[in-house]
Amino acid sequence: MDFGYVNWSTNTAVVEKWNEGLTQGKIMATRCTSCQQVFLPPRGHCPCGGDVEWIEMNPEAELFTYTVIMFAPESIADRAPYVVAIGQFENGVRMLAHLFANPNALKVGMKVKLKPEQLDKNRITVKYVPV
Amino acid sequence: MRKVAVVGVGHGKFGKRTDATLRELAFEAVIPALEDAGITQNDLEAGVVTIAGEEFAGQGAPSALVGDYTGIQPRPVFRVESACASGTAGLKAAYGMVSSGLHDIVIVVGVEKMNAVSSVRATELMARAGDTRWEYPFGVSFPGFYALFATRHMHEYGTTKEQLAMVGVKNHYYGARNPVAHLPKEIPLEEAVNAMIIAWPLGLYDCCLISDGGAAAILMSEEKAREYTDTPVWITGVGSGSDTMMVAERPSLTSLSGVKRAARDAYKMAGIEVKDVDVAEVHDCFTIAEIMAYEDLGFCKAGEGGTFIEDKQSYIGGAMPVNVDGGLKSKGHPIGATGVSQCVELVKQLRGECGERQVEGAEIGLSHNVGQTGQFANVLIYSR
Repeated sequence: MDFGYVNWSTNTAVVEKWNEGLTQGKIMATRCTSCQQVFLPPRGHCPCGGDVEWIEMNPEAELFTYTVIMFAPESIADRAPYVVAIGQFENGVRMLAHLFANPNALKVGMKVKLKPEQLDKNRITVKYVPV
Repeated sequence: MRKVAVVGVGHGKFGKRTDATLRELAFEAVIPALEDAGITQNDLEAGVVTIAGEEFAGQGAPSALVGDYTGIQPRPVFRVESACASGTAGLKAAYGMVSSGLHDIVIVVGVEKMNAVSSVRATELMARAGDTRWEYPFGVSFPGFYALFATRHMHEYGTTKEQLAMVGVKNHYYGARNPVAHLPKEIPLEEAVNAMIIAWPLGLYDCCLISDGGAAAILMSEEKAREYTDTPVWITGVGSGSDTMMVAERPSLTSLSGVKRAARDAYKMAGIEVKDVDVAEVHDCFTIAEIMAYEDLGFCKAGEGGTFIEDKQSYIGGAMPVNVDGGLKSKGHPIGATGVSQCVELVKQLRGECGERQVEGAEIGLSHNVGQTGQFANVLIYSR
């Protein structure tokens, strides 16, 4: 399984685990067992050197900021226009993803939810949707 | 550390240069810089070449090509890359080599040939400077990242789309008076506000140009500078900072923490306060970037950048003249050349050579050069 609309990075164990969570409908993050920092998207290493463990995120978030991309990079141009959003979760962490919503009805602070989006048999991503 | 001066500067024509390749764009800047300094390649000890991405021009090891074609070889050259802040990173490297005593005379050549590829391809290549695992796959263009900042700035501070547009209007006003500018024409505010949207809320005139061009600067030790010129411009402050690769991770999306660190360190090293600066070159890759720069550099308080431009405080005659060469918006933004181009403009400003764009009596200039979306930040202080 590959992650994202466009990606050529090697699928490391961290990405495999993240993708596995998505196929089960879960948004998984990692947390440092030493300094407690939460990483979403997940990191396999904490900068403090501590070990990380997996946790399941509450997928509900607030829209922190957004843009509507009209002129897109070549590799994803066929999807334009699309909304790119950053959501903020209850523990303060933030992640960037597309937001599937009417571009004229967006408001910073609105409630959204991050959910998996299966693109084809071998490709999965995440998207925000309004709650 | 020894004092370091800029003694010679050269600037090619910025634009969509179908008539010139990478090597020729570099040549256009190097020869005038040598002439300005009153030296030849034989006097150089080393060269630093700043090119952000070889994918644009399609030339691997491009610094070797530039070193060869401009006659710097067989003296050593190397490339410095910090995305759009490459130019000032190269100046910083050269500053280090001269101040340390390793070399006495070093040339910095900033150049980029971006229009060898289509604009949609250029947008793709620049987007890949975002985190290619977690953010790039969502198709976040460079205007897209800055649009995320703009939306947040508008939400937190009430900054308006008109205020954003006013930055572009100012920079085009001055760019129209700069013979090396890519797009030297004034634009009416209404046209800027209502322009085609690239990434909401940023429209066409909120975004800098995709440009080709080169700029060069020759740095010397104090002893050599006194030998070649009566009007040295000293580099008195060098500050730098960085930021998270993923934009979503940052505590604030209305400010660049690396810029604040860079400014703090540059002011301290130069022994000045922001009020001592007479003219500033800031990295206006997007209009929101210039507004954030006003705030992060201390020209105004956080959140007041919109009213700062609305009150024309960044025009000549205002509190802080900013980008009176047209900035990235009108002069153009050949990525690797930009930081060196800022150096060229400030040296000319401090020498009083800018004609109708001259800030009268300017003695201290500030250059603010940002790479990616703040992952690289350099602030340089120049002094007469």
